[in-house]
Amino acid sequence: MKKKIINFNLISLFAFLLSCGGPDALVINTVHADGSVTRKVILTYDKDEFDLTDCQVPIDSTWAIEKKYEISDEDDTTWTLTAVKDFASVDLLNNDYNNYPGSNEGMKRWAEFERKFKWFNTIYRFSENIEKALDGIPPDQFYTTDELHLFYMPDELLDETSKGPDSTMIKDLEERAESWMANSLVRAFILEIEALAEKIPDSEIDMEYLNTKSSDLAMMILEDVLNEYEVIDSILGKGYYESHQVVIDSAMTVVEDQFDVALSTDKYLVQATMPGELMSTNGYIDNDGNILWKVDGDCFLSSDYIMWAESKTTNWWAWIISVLFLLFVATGFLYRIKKK
Amino acid sequence: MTKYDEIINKLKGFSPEIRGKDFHVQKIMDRTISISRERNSIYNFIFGWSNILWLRRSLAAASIFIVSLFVFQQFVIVNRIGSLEKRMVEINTENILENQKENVIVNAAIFRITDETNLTDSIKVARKDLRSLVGSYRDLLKRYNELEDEIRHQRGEALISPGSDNNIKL
Repeated sequence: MKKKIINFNLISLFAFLLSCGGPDALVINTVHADGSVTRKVILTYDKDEFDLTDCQVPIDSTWAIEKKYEISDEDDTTWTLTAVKDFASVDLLNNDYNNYPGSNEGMKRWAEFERKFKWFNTIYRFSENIEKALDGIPPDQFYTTDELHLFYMPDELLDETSKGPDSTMIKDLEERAESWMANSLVRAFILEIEALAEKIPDSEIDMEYLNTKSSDLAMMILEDVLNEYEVIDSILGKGYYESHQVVIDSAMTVVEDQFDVALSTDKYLVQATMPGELMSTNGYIDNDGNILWKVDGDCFLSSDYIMWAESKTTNWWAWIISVLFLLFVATGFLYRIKKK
Repeated sequence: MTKYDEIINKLKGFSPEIRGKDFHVQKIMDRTISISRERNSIYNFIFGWSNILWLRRSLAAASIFIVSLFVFQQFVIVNRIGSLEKRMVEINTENILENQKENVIVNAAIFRITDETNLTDSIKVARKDLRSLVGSYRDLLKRYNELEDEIRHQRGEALISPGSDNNIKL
């Protein structure tokens, strides 16, 4: 398990912008008032070897695809593939997510669109969601608000921020991330054991005892001295692993498989443009007014990752009707006073 | 006295008499009253509700509701839009794409280095550090090229005006 934590950290925290050596992807969603979405995917690579069956997000031959290359002043060639497709609704987008065997096929992703009529305004809500990989500790229960702001920040911005006054906090965050990940894995492991123990009547696992030892288990995983079986025996008592081998092994396999989904994430950036005026979002707003989110393994490791944005359009006809109605009522009252 | 004056005097003596004077007065009065009533009935038709208590209260309540809804919605919207300020960042799509281009070049360099240094005496370096090193190298190379261009430019100027004191001698 420790080995995976180290790998995961290297990928998510230390290897800024690395995406398994494949193309970098920027996914741009233009959300329309009728619920349709125009999706543009921009892939950037150092060679003309784009594999559309193994992309971060679903792309196929039905998309309008354009390719071009650019040679920089330093004689570096970069290829850009731009794929565009109009989706009449988010359901069609979700169909693509469900049927695409790309590099992120382990992730359960779906998009949602909601339109609410609120008389003076119509409110639109669009979200791209990723189901959590495992039942660990949600980041908002572990990090402070300021840390969370950095935690979800796209690497492009984090790189810039690390040169500023927040650099100390970023370094602290990197250290705390290891602890968060270890604790998350242990929690997921214990919950899995609990679920398995319920199915096996004679498992005789004391869950209360196991829960009290969770932080010690996480600490030992971080120390990286013993293997996972020795860690269990040293914390929970000699012979503990052997006596509950079936349950522990099964739980460990399940948690490792879940962790692999996050670990093997081919990261990308999501950008969205909403209809009307942007009201609220949990993303980052760039200079052009687009909303930006990063998608990488730690974002959805232990809690559902919901990239949402809300916007509004003004219903001018409702404003006119309201003003006329108020004038009508006010005049009625004045007429009555005058008549008296 | 002229003939003309005589005719005028005779005509003055025959002043016209209105037949049914009272009838005409009554007719004009009735018409005036009916116009006034007609006018009142339009106002009554539009604003007659103000005389009905339950309707008056209902419309007043509806007005208060609309105003309250407006105030509440505006308060929520202004509050939420105000909180967006914290989420604003200094980047745009063009920067992101430029960054991604730079990133794929650096990645390619890192993978090349990793492949070429797969030797027994090689050391392990964190990808972050390697990326930082490659990035710095590229930045240095860019600055060096810029400096070289600047020197060439200055040199060109020196050739044009050899007598100037600010010329760089190479």
